[in-house]
Amino acid sequence: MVMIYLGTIESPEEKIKFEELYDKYRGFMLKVASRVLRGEQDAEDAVHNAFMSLAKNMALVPELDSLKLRGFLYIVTENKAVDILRERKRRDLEESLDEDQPLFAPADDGEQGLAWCISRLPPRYQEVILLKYSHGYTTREIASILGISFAAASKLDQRAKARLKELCEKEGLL
Amino acid sequence: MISDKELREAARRYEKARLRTLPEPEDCGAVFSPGFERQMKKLIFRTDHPVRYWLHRLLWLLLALLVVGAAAAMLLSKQAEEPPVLPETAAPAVTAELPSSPSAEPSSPLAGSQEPEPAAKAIVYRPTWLPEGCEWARETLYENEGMIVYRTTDGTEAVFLYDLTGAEMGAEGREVPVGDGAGVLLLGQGKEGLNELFWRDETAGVSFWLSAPFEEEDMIRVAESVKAEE
Repeated sequence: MVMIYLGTIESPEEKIKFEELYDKYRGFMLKVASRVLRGEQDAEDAVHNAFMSLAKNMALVPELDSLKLRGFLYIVTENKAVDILRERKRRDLEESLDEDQPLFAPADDGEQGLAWCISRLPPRYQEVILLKYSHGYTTREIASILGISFAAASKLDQRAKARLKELCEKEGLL
Repeated sequence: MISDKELREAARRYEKARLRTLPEPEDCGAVFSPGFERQMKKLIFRTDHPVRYWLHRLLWLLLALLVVGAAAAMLLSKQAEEPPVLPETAAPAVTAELPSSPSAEPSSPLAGSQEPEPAAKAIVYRPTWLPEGCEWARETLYENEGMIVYRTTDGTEAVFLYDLTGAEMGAEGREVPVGDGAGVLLLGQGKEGLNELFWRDETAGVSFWLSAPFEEEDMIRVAESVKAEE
């Protein structure tokens, strides 16, 4: 399987980019993973898994040093951290994961707008909304980035939008 | 209804707000465990040199197979060197004591050979008659002894052993005639209920042992058919 992932890094430019990602952003990615996971080891595992996913999707990784790249790395790392958290919960090692709750919501600036509603979404829904609407990826690309099937990504997209609509209605935005 | 444009703007706004809560990447100094660094070095090596990485993996695999193969060959060789385990009989009829002779260690083991190979001493004993359907399966020949295994029609193995040093094969069982001499037969007392027959060629000073699922008559007939191959 790893061979398939890594076989996708073909050009020397992508290889250099991958190494630069590792050098510059691993600390940042660990910070993201540490927000989701308590254990240092688990956070490192999440970062490692995120790099595996990046290696598979190098063609989809935004330009180095861009804000988009940071947002993208945030999403990928958080996704892998949530996977680990979910696995731990499945093995009864973790009690606190509530998939319906957002993991982290930045302090709002007083405006209870659509952005605030996105921040109230569970992580899986946030990921798909951000990848699709902030980054402009297609559903197929999102499926590849998140390591899920096209059908699952499509369903996730629909559910995320439905939940967002519910939240907006509740907040009187619609 | 939320429009795609509204959603795009909101998603970007939220993402920026989320990123503002984290330090800049260059300020995120983090110390990773040596295990993580090792894993990542491997990952980077794989990305940089996928062919070399898989060649390394292949070489390690071949090396491991070689080690396992050598260990298996040694084990087979050791098993072949071990004398047959003789069962203790509850009601001995006759005790056959074959004259002892100095036992010699095999000096040129050919363990695990799949094709018949000549022994170093160039004398190999083989049965020249076997019950119908019985086929040669494998053999291991040493300078002073040899083991030839035949497979019967039902898949059971018949094992024939000879010892050129005439090593003692003390066994208690019923005495039966084998050619001009005598042998000791143990019915159903061998491994997995097989019959066993021990006999000796006094002239040549060679001891024989046959463990097989054959009838008494056939056990003796096989024993009488054994001939030396030069």
